[in-house]
Amino acid sequence: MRQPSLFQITSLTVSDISRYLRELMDSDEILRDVWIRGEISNLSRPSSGHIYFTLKDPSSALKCVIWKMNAARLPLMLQSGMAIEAHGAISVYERDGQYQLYVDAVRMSGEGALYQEFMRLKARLEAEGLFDTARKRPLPEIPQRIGIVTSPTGAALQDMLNTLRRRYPLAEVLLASAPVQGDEAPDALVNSLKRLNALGSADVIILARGGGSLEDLWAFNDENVVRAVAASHAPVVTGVGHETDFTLSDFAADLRAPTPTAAAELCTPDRAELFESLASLSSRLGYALQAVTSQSAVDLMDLKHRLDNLSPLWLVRNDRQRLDELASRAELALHNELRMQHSQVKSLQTRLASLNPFAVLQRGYAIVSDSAGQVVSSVKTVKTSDQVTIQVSDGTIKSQVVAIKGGGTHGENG
Amino acid sequence: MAKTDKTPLALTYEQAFSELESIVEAMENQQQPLDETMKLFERGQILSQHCTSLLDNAELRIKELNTSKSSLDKED
Repeated sequence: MRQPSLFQITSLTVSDISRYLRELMDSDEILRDVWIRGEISNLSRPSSGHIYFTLKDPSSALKCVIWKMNAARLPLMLQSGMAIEAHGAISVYERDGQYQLYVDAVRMSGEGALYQEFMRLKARLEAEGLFDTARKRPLPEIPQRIGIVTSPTGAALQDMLNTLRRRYPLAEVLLASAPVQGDEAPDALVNSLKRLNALGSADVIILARGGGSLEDLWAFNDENVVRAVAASHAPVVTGVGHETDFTLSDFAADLRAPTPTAAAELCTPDRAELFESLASLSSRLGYALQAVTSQSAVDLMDLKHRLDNLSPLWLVRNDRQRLDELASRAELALHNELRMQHSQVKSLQTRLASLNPFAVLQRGYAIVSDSAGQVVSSVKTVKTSDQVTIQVSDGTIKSQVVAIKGGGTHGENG
Repeated sequence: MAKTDKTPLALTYEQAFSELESIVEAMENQQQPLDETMKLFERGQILSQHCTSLLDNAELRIKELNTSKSSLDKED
């Protein structure tokens, strides 16, 4: 500021000083980017859409304004008495000569406080048994109707619908949309869950929301929402935020999926797998038929065989065969007997031939017989002048006994 | 055995599939007389074809419960 002159006191207009202060504050590193915590009072939301309030602590107060553009993006519904931390820049509202905080972001006072609230509620509901694993129900393998509770405008809904179309387009989706963040979210979520259950036709319900900050997901930690999840008649699958986000609704749900897409996957069979199991059933059907018919064929053949064995025709044929057998055996026996006889005859003939007395005639012997035809083997049987016949090999010689010698020891023919 | 008198084409996928399953099991136990088996087989084939065509031709149906404050574009 200028040095006061003795002759002329220079003055600044109010506007000048305000502008000066504003420039001073706007160039300050700290004032340009600061988090300030306090309690909300004198909250007003005029139709312009801007939000005005005062942040207080026990000894001081700070005017705050949230422009409409930023107000729309607030993760939570501001209320008087709420302890928050507001982020923004401190500058001068020149008309009133007041400095105020131009808020661009708001969070509940301290993640710590929020976390403690979360833990307190979690412990209480856990003690009530709302999160018991025994309460968890299995999901239907093939759901006919799938209830979905989520924001009608979020990407999460489209992700889930795409997943359902890809995996199991046979399902019908019952969409009970609800805002998933902001003050009205808890009641709307509870309402949607109740309506789906009142309808009674959903086989499973997906409660989902895309990723967001801890505050964005806060509605899913609301006690009423958690209780509505636990009370649902249809099994509930949650897919809230990202894989690392856990809400109390997740704990109360029958199944927690890491994302909305995963929730839709967990609720449905995969079409490719369904085709596979259909194909397998179909081939089992064929095999079963084949097994039954071939077994029947075997049974039939067996019976036919047994029947044939019992048939009188078979008995006759049997007898005939035995007859044939006997006949051929008899024939064989006869044949053998004949052969034996034949060879015996042959041997007898040989022996007979060797005994033929005429055989010796060849060698020069002769047989002498008397007129009576008796063989003369001794001199005593003939007398001189007897007619005898001498038989040689090729004929007979008629002879007359001329003399007789001998009559001694040997009776050889002469 | 879950045998329904409904014509297979009137069955939902789940109904048709589960009936097909029980038909196959019944046939595999071979407790059925042959003519019953033939009937089961024929029905099983129809059910299987029905399931396949349901899977092939299905379009996801979406029904909105709260038309009051809906800003959702109708899907199908």
